Amino acid sequence: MSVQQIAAQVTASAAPLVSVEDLRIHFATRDRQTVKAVDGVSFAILPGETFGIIGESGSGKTTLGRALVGLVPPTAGRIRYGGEDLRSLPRRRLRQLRRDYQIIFQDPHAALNPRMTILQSVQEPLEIMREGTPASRRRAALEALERAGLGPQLAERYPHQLSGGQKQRVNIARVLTLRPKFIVCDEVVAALDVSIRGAILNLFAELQQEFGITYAFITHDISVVSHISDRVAVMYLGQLMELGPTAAVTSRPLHPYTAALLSAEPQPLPSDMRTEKRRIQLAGEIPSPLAPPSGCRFRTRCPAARPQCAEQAPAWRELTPGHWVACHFATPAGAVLETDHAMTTTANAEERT
Amino acid sequence: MSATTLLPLQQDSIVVRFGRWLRRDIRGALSLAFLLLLIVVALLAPWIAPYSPTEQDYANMLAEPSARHWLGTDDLGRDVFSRLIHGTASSLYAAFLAVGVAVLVGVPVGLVAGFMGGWVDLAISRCIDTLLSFPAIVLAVAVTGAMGIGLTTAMLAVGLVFSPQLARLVRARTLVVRQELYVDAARCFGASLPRLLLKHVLPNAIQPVLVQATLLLAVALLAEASLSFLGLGVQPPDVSWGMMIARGYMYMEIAPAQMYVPGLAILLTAIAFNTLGESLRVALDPTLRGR
Repeated sequence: MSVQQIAAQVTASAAPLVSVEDLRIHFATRDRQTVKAVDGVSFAILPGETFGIIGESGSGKTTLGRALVGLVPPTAGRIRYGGEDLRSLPRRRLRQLRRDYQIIFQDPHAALNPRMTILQSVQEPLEIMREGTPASRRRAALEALERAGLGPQLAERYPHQLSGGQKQRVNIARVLTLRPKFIVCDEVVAALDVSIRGAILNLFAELQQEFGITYAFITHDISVVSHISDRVAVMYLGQLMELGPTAAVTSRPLHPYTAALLSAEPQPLPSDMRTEKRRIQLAGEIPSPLAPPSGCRFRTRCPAARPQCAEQAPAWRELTPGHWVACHFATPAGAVLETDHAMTTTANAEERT
Repeated sequence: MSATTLLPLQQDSIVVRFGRWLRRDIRGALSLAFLLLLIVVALLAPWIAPYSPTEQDYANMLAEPSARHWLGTDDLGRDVFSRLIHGTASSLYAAFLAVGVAVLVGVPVGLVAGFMGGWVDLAISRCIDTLLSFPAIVLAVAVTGAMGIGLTTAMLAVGLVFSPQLARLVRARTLVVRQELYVDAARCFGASLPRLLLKHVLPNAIQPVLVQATLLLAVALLAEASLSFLGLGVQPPDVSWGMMIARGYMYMEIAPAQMYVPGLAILLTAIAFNTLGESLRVALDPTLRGR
């Protein structure tokens, strides 16, 4: 799907498959503090697209992904599936709806019960749905395994006898038995060897073609996201910093954080052949979600931070059609990456304290 | 290609797999053989034993082991070997009853406490702590006092006292297992609570219980011995190993075999239970099987 088509869809506001409205997910820690893992996030995922979500560890992207399939209850705000809110549905309908919205986890090994054979694991969703007979479920499971690239000789094995890539294929096959409309892919290739990442990513792309699946692709790896996503959302400390068509976000980022992520991506070229892009180095670690910075959450690491950033949280605004950003100073021309010298030092001084 | 044609996937029959296991695990096989032997002995006691357990030989009281009385006689002239054989049944019955009760009560309680968390866990855990502070024998004494003397009531009480140990173990494992990703995955497929507990949590939390249960079998044997020693368990004319020790220890300087023989029987049985438990743990864990 081209960028223009997506943008057209966004502006025409085609019925979204999943819409997230001011979602907040807070956890209480042991010492009664509150971690705001997701803190006011809104977006909509359209049918058939691949929606990328990028963020560092601690940005809340995994919590967001789990919330998208109902594994974590929202503290506030809501998630609607084709217009329906899970919490207001009767049980039967909930089960029906659930099968359309699935998740594949980062750790392919931990996602499989070590005491169940591959075949038992892959059949389980159909058993739970009470669909078909034992024989038909077995057939469906073997077909799904085959579609995911695994032969039936693996069916009677246990998870620990398979490689990481094979296990991730098992997880994919298991979800496929349900023919879901939507799959959250939470760092699905991060735990795999680089050599097999490409094959697994291609499998996801093929399945999308074949079954018209919509993906929410969560990753910390901007190169993965930019290759496979139609649109991409950039998350930082529980909030969205930027959201837009992938081509627009990667070619003309509106938020300094996105610009920094992009410039951190290694270029497979000798240094004298690299493009002129100046590298933006982010100092320090992501602040604790227990005590996020006031105003703009990114200001403590932002190269363009100004006093206003500490006082006022930037509005979430649509700067160009379909391209949203949360930065006071962003212009349609791109992110503001510089501030005057005095301001830079203020920001740095603040960071050290 | 159709999936069905590719499916000769035959599993070896359970007999073949069992045979393979026996050959690989000698200690486990020996323990199993010993325990099976005990069960056979318990069932066939009247036909195996040379004498009745109550038959008295007044000419040979507190006799040394001899051709006539293989393990000697007790203070009433009863054949120790015959009594040992007849005592097997009550000792095994007592041990299995107590541990059976402990498993049936402890495992579900621990599972629910660990999985539900919150106030359910809090309430159950407090009860467990309270019960754990009770010595098994003391409670068994109290229960037999209230419900009447007898092996069954005494061992039911012992089982109840054992159950918190298992409950605590299962709860601790469940706390870990419920966080596992495969539990979340099953939840995402819409798995019901019983399914989550029985298919995903229990099989992955039960392992230490198996080992602990075999240890408890050994402890239960001793508890039976203690209670029968105190006169609260097996009642004459029935025999048990514990009762034999209770009587035998009074004459340990004159006829030591009377005490050591049932003691050795308890020791060997306890070791066999423990060894078998360890073997089961390995055999039932697919991750410890050959790759």
